[in-house]
Amino acid sequence: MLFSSIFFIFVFLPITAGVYYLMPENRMKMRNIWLLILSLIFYSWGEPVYVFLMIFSAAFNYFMAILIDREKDYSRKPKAALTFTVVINLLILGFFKYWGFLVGTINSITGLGIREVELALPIGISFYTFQALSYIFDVYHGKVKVQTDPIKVALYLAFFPQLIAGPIVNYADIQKQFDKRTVNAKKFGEGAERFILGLGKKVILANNFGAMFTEICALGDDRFSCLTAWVGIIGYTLQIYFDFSGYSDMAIGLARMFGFELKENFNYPYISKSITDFWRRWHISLGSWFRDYLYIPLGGNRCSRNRHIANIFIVWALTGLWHGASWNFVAWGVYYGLILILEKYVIGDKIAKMPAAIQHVYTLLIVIIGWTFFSITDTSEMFRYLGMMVGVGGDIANTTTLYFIKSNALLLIASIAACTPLPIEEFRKFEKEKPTIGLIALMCIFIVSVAYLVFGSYNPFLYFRF
Amino acid sequence: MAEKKTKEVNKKIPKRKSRRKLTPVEIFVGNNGMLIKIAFIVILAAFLFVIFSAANAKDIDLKTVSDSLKKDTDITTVMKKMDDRDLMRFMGLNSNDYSQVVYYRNTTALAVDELLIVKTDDAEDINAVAEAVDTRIDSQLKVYESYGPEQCALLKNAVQTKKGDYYFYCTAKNADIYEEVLLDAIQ
Repeated sequence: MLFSSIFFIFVFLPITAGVYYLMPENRMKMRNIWLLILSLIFYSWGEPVYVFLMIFSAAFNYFMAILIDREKDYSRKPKAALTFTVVINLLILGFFKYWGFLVGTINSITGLGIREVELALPIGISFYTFQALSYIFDVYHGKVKVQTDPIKVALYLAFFPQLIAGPIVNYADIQKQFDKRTVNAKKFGEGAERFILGLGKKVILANNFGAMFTEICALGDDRFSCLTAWVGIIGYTLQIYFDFSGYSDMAIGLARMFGFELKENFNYPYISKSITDFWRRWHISLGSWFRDYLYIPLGGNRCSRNRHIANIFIVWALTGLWHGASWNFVAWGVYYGLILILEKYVIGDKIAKMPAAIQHVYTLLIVIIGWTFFSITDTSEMFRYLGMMVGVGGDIANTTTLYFIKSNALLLIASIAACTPLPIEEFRKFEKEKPTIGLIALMCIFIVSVAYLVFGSYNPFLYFRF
Repeated sequence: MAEKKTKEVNKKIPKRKSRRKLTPVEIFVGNNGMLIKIAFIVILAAFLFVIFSAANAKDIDLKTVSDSLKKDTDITTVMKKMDDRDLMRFMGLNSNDYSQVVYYRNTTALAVDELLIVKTDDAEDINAVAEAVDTRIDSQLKVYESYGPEQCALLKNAVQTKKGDYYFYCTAKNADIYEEVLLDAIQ
């Protein structure tokens, strides 16, 4: 089920919220059970078989956390239980996400012709596996108390607002909220507002840029040009930001409607002045996960220069691979690893001394080129596109370029503005001064989004496939 | 001597740090969790086996699929069965390279409807067929992009499915119905 679907907005959400709010405020256990049941229904809507995998994962991690805690309690070595738990979690993720990729790679290297069985990827598996691992690691390191209530562990993994595409929530950040959370009209209103803004980002902005990028990619060589390629990839740059940050807004808003506070996942990444800064602002929950559970255990930056460089490459190759079982994602991850190393050891100080405008242009250029690796999975197509961007095999511009710029000018200007904090800050000020007009503006965004949903085609979130 | 022995025995028994009472779940988990670990591995293995088996396909004769298509769908009113030469001409595929092939095509002018089912011998062959189909769709899109919006819409919604040894491709209004015939036969 999609957040940006008529059924979710007008049937699933009102029923879930309606019953939830009818339950007595002091019956938190009952509310948790209700949310868990609805979360499993939400998941099974698109994954009727894989909901068993989700239940298995919850049960497995629940019992294993108890076992790890007990092993610690008995002064035994809990490392064996931890290793077993991590291996099984990664095995499940690896089997569904990387099996085909592994077999394909072996076949292409050795020519063995091992049968490739295409398994459907369970939606959200990368997100809930990482959440489960964060819980297990935190129990092992004694950062959190083991949870003895299976409902809470299952709800932590399956909570529908962030189940499918994050943000990846650390158990430590949410554990207390299972027992005590504020649920009132004010919070519901704040959550609904955040949800509508996210819906608008996805449906009005991201989907239109998606259509533009698809159209540009499908152009024949005779109609392609250097500038058209740039317009296309800038469109994708905006699409992925509004798609994913829109999803995160909806997730944070929905969670708030039920009294949960989730951490922010984006902080205006396209206003960054360096790539290091960009990765502190983009998909913050994934970056934090890799930092806390991989980069720091590997030694982080408290080691020799060579080891530090190796650590960065390992973390970024795995960050790329996390996004998808394909070499283009690995290349994308390594590309960022390389730039982060360069910023750390070679060009970082020089960039910091440059005028702010040049810092922004530098960062955006790196990011936009990076999205080319990310968006086009076919290697030869990707190089063709990159070639076009530097003027190989085409004109600098043509009438098609003009058509795309003219027909999307308003959308481009509005979206570039929406990449900065300015519009939302102004909206908040305006909302305080004239709340009625603020509400009308929100309703307009909602109505336009719903109109797009009614008349538009199926447009899943880009991060669903990860 | 006896005291020394008792000390040695006590050393072997791990002691709990805290004196709290074990919860029912902790008792269920067991002393070293071996039983529960085995139980989880068995459940997981069974689940993966079922998923993996479902993703594979039965070994069938494509003639039965062709017969079902003729009997249960409107395919013969929309398309005609093509021969090996047509397969080479339109799809760029040599039927001798594959175990079995079924190819239907609408031969009227400005029609893009076509259906291809290939049974292959190994994974590499399936990828080769998929590439040939992608090329075919791209070239058809180029032909119709400036004057055939309906054809382009059909081509953009073409169904391509890989299942076990089988590859299915169809550009047609009822592509999903034809696909179902194949899936029913091989599942």
